[in-house]
This record gives sequence, structure tokens and C-alpha cells, in this order.
Amino acid sequence: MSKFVEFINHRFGIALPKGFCVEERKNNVYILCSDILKVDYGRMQRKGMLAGKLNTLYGIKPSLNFVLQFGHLASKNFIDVGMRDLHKAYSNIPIQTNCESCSDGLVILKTTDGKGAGISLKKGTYLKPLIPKSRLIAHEKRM
Amino acid sequence: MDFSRVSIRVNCLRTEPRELHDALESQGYAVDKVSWYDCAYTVSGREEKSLGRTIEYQLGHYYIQSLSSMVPAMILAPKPNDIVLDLAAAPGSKTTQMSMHMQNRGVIVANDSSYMRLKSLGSHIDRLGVLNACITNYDGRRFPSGIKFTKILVDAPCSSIGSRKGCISHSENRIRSLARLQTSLILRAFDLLDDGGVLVYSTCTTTIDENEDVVAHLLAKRPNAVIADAGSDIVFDYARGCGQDAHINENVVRYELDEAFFVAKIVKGSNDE
Ligand SMILES: C[S@@+](CC[C@H](N)C(=O)[O-])C[C@H]1O[C@@H](n2cnc3c(N)ncnc32)[C@H](O)[C@@H]1O
Repeated sequence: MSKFVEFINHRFGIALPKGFCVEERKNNVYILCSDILKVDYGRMQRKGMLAGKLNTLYGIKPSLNFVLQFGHLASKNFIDVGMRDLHKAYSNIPIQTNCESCSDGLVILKTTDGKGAGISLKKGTYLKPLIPKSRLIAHEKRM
Repeated sequence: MDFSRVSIRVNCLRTEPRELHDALESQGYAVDKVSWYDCAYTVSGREEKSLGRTIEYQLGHYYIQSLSSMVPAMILAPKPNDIVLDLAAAPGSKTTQMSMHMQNRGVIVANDSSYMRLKSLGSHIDRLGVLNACITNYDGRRFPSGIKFTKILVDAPCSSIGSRKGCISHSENRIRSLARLQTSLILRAFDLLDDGGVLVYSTCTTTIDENEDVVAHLLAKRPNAVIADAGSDIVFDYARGCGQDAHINENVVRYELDEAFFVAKIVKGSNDE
């Protein structure tokens, strides 16, 4: 089994849905619809969506896009956040949590209606957002 | 054309139209439905650029796309079991739209000859959660044989006369050279199509050389190419209702919702037809 699939299962309880598979290329992991496996071209740049990286500062790390697509499947190490905190995370501002069931390390942020919305590093009650720079929004003060 | 209104396409792989509508309205945007496409809204009320900086944009809930540019993929109408080639795909507005219509199933080969433009194609594929596409980097005129595609989109490089990018002036020579490229692309695409397959050819320009003449050339060179009814009456009713242009002439379609577009739908009959 791929290290990435093992990791997301072990850390977040996410099992890859039927009909999808992953491919590892160097440090990158891609997730794709299994139908594309049969396609092969010499000048193929990549298949599917970048799902994560194998070697990062935090070990194996799922991409933000993976979390947006599959985060709703997480059954552990996720934290529900309201829009206010989500805005903070997307403005690279740390947020606080009192989640006791999550262990320190990578956690998935979910919206209150259960959708995957972001990824953070948890250390005690402190959540450091791991939103890529290109995806940050200018922080707007919300009433 | 009203440039103060921007159109967006909801990414139904990630969210529901109604949910996005409410989220944007709560941020002060005026959001209006588009009568002929459930996945489209026009948005106004705030600076256009700000639409690329909302949290919903970063969550991949929508793509900023002109209304006119949504029509070719609607006419091609790919289904979850199709094998689709998008011969000139970057930056990916139509690839991501087709993936949504295919519910992330089947196959899309998203090709572009420009290595530089593949980066933005990849980032839109990632942001919108497209899992059924692969990216290739061929000159479309020499795209390799092998797979027979059930549907092909040729959204051709063109002079963009009448596009939102603004009217660019081109010499006659430039238009002729674009027309030669477009003719080669449409012929190659047609040859990659399975029997019974469907090809949609589109441009965002108004010249006859790059539109009707290209299609006429294909019909002359390939006797099994049959022009089909684009079946998008609803779009034309809408265009006329807004006092805009839409013509159907011998089944090829010119329209101008928020920018000028040309679309033709061609079906491949078997060789002995
Ligand atoms: C009108 S744009 C395509 C827009 C795209 N379909 C979308 O909806 O986002 C035309 C594209 O054709 C590409 N192109 C130009 N010459 C080409 C060729 N010979 N083969 C394949 N692609 C080509 C350009 O790099 C450009 O990205």
C-alpha cells in the first residue's frame, strides 16, 4: 500500500473512495480517477490532482486541495471551525482550539457542515495554519 | 457588453450553487442566476478583482469565466463514461467545466502546446479538485494516435477579435496563419475521434477565415464529417432577449453574450457513410 494512503488512513481515518487511486512521482503524490490509469503518452506531464508530498518538514503532508476534496471523510484528528476562524487560517493567523480528542501534529479543519476546509499543525491548544501562500486572502476584519 | 458584471461558474464538484450564492451575497455581492445554466451566476456590486480573493474562491467553489466561454463545453456535453480530448486546454476553464459535467469520472486528456501555460492549467485542476484529467504537452497538430476519443474539444488559438481581452488588431497575414493552424488542429482532432464521436470547434473571434472557413475545410477534406445541430436554442433566446447577437447559419453558431464566440458541432460518421 502507498505510504500516503497508509498515512491518511492512520492519521485521519480517511479510506480512499472506490474508483480512485494514487500515484507517487518523486516527492509528489497524485490522486486520480482509476479510469486514467490506462492512458499513457510520452509527453504526459501528470495525471490527476496533487494530493500531497512525502517528505516535508512535517513528514507526509496532504495538500490543501486533497483536504478540500476528501477532508469530509476524516473521522479523527479534525477540528470544526466557524467562518471567523477559517478566515483567520486563510490569513495565516494562528487559531486556538480546545479539542481534546486530537493529538498534536497535522489536523484537518472542517466547516461546521462537515466539509474539508483547511489544514493546520496542532501543538497543545495552538493551531498553526498550513495554507499555501498563494491561497491566502487579505485578512478582513469581520464584525 | 456590461463589464461591471462578472460571471462565475459554480464548481459543483465542491459546492452547491445555492450555497455559493448565499455566501457571496453575505459578503456584499449582488448575485444573479443565469437562466440557461444552473451552474452560472453573474456577480456585481464590488470590485471585479476582489472575486479572486474570496475564501470561497480559494476553497475551489467557483471559476471566473465569461458566459460565452461556458457554451462550447455545454454543447459538447461530456458524460461520466466519455473519453475526452481537450486539444488546446490551458488555462483550463473548459477542462474543469467538463470534469464537473462528468462528475469526475471517465477521462479527460487536457493538452496544450505551451509548456508555460500548463502551470496555470495544473493549478486550476488542483484548486477545483479535478481527478479525471491528465495533462499532456503536444503540438495539437501532431497529437499521437492510439486512443480513440468519444468527444473532442478544439477551443482553438485565435485572433480574439471581440473577446473580453479587448480587440486586438491583426494583420491579414496573421489571420491567415492562425487559420492554417486552426485547420490543421481541427483535421488532427477529427482523425483522433472514434466513429460516432463528437467534436466541438470554438473560437472567441469573429473572422470568417478562422471560423466558417475552417469548418468548411474539414467538411471538404473528410467526407464522414457531418455538421450537427448545436442544440443550444436556449442560449440564443437569452442572447436575443438581451438585445445581443446570436446567429445560427447552416448549424454553425455565432453569439455574443459577454464576448463574441463561434461554435460548431461535428459528428464523425463511419467511413463508408
Ligand atoms: C483559446 S486558448 C484555450 C483556452 C482554454 N480552452 C480554456 O477554456 O481555458 C488557446 C490555447 O491554444 C494553445 N495552443 C496554441 N497553439 C497550439 C497548438 N499547436 N497545439 C495545441 N495547443 C495550442 C495556446 O497555448 C492556448 O493555451
